[in-house]
Amino acid sequence: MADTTAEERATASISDELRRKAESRDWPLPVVAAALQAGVDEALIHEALDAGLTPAEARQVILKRLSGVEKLSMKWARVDTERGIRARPGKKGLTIDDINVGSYADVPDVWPDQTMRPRGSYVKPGTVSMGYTIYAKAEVWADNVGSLYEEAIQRRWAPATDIPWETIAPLSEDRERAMGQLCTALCEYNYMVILALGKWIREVSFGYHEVKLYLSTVLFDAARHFEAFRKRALCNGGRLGVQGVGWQLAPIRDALCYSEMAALVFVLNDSFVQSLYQLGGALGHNEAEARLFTLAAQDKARHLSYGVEHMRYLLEHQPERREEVRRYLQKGEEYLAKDFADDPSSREALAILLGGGLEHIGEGFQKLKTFRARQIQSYLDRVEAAGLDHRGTIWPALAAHQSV
Amino acid sequence: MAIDPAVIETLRKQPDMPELDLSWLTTEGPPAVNAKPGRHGLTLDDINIGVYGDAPEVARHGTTRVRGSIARPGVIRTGYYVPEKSDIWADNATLIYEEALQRQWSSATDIPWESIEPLPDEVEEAICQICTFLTEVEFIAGDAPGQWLKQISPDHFEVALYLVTQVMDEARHLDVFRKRALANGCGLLEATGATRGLRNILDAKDFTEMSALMHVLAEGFVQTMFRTGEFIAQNEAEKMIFRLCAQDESRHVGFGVMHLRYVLQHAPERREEIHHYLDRAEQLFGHPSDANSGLQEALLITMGGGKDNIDKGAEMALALTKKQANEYMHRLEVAGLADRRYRMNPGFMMLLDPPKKR
Ligand SMILES: [Fe+2]
Ligand SMILES: [Fe+2]
Repeated sequence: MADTTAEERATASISDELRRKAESRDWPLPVVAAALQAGVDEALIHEALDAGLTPAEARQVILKRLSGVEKLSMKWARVDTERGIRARPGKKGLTIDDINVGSYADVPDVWPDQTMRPRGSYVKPGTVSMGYTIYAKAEVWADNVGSLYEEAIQRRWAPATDIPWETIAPLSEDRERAMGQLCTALCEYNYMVILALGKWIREVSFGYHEVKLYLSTVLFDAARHFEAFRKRALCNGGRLGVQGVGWQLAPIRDALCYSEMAALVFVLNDSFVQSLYQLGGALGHNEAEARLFTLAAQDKARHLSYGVEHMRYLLEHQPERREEVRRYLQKGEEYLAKDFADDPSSREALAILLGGGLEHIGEGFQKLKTFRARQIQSYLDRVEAAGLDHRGTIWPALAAHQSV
Repeated sequence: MAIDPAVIETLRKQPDMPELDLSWLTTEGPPAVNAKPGRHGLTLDDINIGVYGDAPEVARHGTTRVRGSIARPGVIRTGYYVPEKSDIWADNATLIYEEALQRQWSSATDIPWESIEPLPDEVEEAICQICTFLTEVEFIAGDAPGQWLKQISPDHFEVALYLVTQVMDEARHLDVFRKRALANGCGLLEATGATRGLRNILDAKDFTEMSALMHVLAEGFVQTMFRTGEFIAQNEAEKMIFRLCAQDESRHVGFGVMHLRYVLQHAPERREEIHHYLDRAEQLFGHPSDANSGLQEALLITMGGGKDNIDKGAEMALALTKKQANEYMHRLEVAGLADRRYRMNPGFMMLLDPPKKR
């Protein structure tokens, strides 16, 4: 009944004469009202009614009058953009790098445009800003960003169906709990990456669409990792563990510029997480875990590869930012070391997993020392590959874990 | 089989043993579970058991604590999340998430690019104009959900996971239309600056506002256009592009419709507010007299099959517009907003078929 009232309200503006005529010819009144509201002349509607058109035919006439393109202007086809581009697929199909041809391949150091204009297209002056904040190539760029994007898509996997979950077999309660604790920490980290990247992806201007595309795959990976480790925690008679202390996440949350976030996520923290993924793959509990951690590590390798290349690009093109980047890393290191110190749950869980059970936790702690030292070593190697000699400047509390 | 406290005591006494806490190992917490994979593998619905599946009506913490883990006091907050479940939730989020993972495709290798043959100049230009428009506008539907992610609580993580798949899908859409524009002898043409309606989506300060404008209205229209893509496409490659994009887009629209429905069921007092958002959005979005001329002309050429056939093109373009409006209305009905029929923007209302007699 509510509809009838609404219909009455909507059609109240129709003159009595037009209403009578429309009703006598079975025309729906809302259509008449809409035509009037859209600016159709009442005379035209009378004409259509008198001509005996069905409502559908009349609508056609009215709509054509309103929206029809009488003749083509073709103005849009005469804009001054580069033509004659015929990118061909190569061995890996038609990739995002394959279409970087001619002027479309020019990625300027500073992107001048605040609109959504695709690189290489024309946009009318006067188009409004879409509110991006990153217009400097060095802030986001890495030369491998296009190939990493395509690689991420080729190597996609689905935790639901690509993990042989049926191979999961019960573990002793201590080891299952330790695995649940590790999964909980990995879920939290990946959720933080989702929160952070969601924000940053939107800040990147359209001149660097390859970066936006690549970051979309990283977001997607993070969602999958969150999902996959949650699934692992809940599929083997175990549970999620205790929430982490979470200091590690604070600097990522705080990052005020993209390069700061990128150094923290894609170089520092991802490096430490990658060691955990590799550890998980090597534990040998069952095929499902081995596959899960190996696939996650494969994704993570792309994130690190971008992180290192991006930092290298940044330092090459804005060498004056070297000490600034070092400070971002040091802040991240300081917080990471706080986690190592303050979070018994994660270090004890790792010691149980490394030792092979609660009764071997002492041995596990010995192995954890070696594991930490290697984590730091891999991290410093990556920073060095990015062009920053950081071995002498790593935050002392983290450096303390270097000696076995 | 619980952990034996005596074992822990013995360990504590071992020489060289670091100080042991192990409280995490013995805390009772939520029950242990044993989720088993079903026909579609081990899905999110399969692990949503008991407390682990309980997305709370109100998310009360601001940390990254994952739902079902044991809270640790004193942890720093990582954000201001939208607290109310009804403000962001859709019951189909898990289903669409899993579907999105199964249906990912690659613009590099899943499109038969070799099927593209040279086209008459004006048809190639028209296709490139459509692709320029789409590569321009598609990622607004990546940026917008992206900027909302930081406000989705891990208690409602299903929504965040779904939104991420949408960002990924839109990346592929931006990418595939750019690839097409640069594959057959033309290039990118005029970006439309279609920012009046689209800025509106980025500007939205409320999730439901954003979702109604983007998922239900804008992506709904795009979805209908993609599904009509066989009439625009000139070859197998383009048909495949439209088909695959339409498949992705139906997930986005599906989330929006189910979110709107959830809101109207759980917060019926918001009905009028939502109408207000749509009032303005419809007015900005696609009133026929305000149509985007480059896209419009390009559609006439491609659908008509050439510059000399624009009458046929116009007829088909009009049919598309009508279909867009009617499908939009249908989605609103499914969402529970059937009363929009009589307050829709006249430009759209005129396009509606009469309601089915009940
Ligand atoms: Fe899309
Ligand atoms: Fe979409």
